[in-house]
Amino acid sequence: MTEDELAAWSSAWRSHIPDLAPLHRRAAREGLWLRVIVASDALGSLGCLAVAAWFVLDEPDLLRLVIAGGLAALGALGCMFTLQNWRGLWQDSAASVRDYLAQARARSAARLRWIRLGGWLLAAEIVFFGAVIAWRWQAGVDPAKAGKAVVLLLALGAAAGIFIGWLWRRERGNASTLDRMAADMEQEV
Amino acid sequence: MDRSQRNRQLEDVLAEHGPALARLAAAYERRPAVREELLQDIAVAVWQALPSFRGDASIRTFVLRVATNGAMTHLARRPPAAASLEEAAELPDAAPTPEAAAEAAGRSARLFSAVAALPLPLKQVVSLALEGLNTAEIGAVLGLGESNVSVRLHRGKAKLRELMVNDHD
Repeated sequence: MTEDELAAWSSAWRSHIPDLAPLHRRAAREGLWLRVIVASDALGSLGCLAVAAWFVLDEPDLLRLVIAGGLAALGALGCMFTLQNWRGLWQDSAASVRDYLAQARARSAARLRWIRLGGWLLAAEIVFFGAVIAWRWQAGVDPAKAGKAVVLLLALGAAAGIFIGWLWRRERGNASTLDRMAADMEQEV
Repeated sequence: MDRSQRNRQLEDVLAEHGPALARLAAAYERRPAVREELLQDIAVAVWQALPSFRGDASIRTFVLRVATNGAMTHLARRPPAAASLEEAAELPDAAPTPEAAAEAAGRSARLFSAVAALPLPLKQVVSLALEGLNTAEIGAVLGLGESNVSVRLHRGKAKLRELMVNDHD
């Protein structure tokens, strides 16, 4: 194995010049889109909090206060989601590959913890709104309306549960791949 | 650094190092359609990382480090599917080459398919060596000691030769 051989390979490798003309425009556009997406996520969460505030201030009563509390919790969750979901995109991509992988694994573990927390919070929300519906039912609300609210709550809960399960499986796959890559990187030579 | 400055800087970086980024993407992603996505992700990562460039290393080392990290993220999110060496040899669109370069293009295609087939730790070192980085620069990109890089490079070259011979047969 000679240095000449590596030089010949390197020359063959670098002889390939791909056409990259449109790439820089796409990269700049993509960067702009990331910011638009994050801004829209943040606006959605702020909107949720604003609706909760309006709901209470417009006609303050206990029920509205309770529902506004739920909405505020959802808004706060949305903020957390935004921070967590896009966090990886701003990780230090200029660190060495070894450091980068260690950081990526730590963040993946944090995302798994957050998704698990999301599952518990979803369960808590279902119990909370279920309790509100039961309370209103006992207070004399039309049983048909209460029934519809229960169906809606269960449907939304199931959809959110499926989404959380999908996120969990995806992040587990991501974490195990990162673990394998880091193990490869650290292997004895 | 404002947006227009950064875009201009990215343009300069891509003009100078874009081909190296595309070759690196081809080393890590065999699927041609997904490779383009990886290359875009790498370009975005470079665009985002540019303000943190302080000139401690050369811009080439900096860009290749960001690109290799981008490839690691990509591999974690989209683990490679089993693919044929023929698929790996489908290179990114190249500028027209003269007839005289046809043989060199064939050699280059075999080399790309062999590099793509290397195990990850060897591929990391070999792809950077092929871009002309020395062992110290490769060590700085990967966060490995020079002796570690040398050993991996030695093994990588042996494996690469074996793969290229098999591909040729």
